[in-house]
Amino acid sequence: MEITIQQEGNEIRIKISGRMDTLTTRECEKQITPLWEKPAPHLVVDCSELSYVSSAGLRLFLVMQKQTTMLKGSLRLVGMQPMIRKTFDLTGFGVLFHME
Amino acid sequence: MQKVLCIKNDIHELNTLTQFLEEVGDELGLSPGLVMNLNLVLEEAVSNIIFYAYPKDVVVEEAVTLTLTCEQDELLICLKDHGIAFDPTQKEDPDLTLSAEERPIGGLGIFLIRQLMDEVTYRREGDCNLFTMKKRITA
Repeated sequence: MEITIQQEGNEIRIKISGRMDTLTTRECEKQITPLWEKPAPHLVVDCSELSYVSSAGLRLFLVMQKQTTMLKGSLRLVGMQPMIRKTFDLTGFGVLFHME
Repeated sequence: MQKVLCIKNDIHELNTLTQFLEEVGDELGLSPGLVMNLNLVLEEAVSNIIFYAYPKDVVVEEAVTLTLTCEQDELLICLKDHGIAFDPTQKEDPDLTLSAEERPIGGLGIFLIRQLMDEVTYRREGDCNLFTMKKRITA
């Protein structure tokens, strides 16, 4: 798993590549948590190179959704591969997110 | 065909599990989607055992034994452990109609297993938990 976080205009672009499983999601969460110190964070998560998301990964996406809503920011997931989208839909997560 | 994987109660063993599934997938010519689903299901079931079945500070070398059997168009996966009795099939499904704000964090694991496999059974045999999953393979 690799994660890069970049400010682009008024948005924060997060690219997560590889596997979000029980092991790697911990590291991912550590890197994302500091973002909750900013007011109204507008996040775009680039999922184009995301190859696997287990329930641990889904849980982190739900945390991102809850936090951005609470902080009156926003969250967009972009470029998700169909195979990963299926995991989201299967758990009823597909409808919880703004996907492009 | 039958393959067996034995792992200890260390969460890093999930990497061993992923590699095992990739090898089985190659050998049986399973689709990438099916291999991913098996990985999802087994990550849930195995991490549950690793996290909760044994005392935290004790290393158990043969904590989980995974037996994967392929017969014609069916995969049979059996997980055996000798930790505390736990029946994952008793857990309630999450409420999928809730909004993101209302959805509780967690509780998805067993639900994913039920969704992705065709049959899921549990039984306690002596001092062992036996969790069995079946999946029909469609070409």
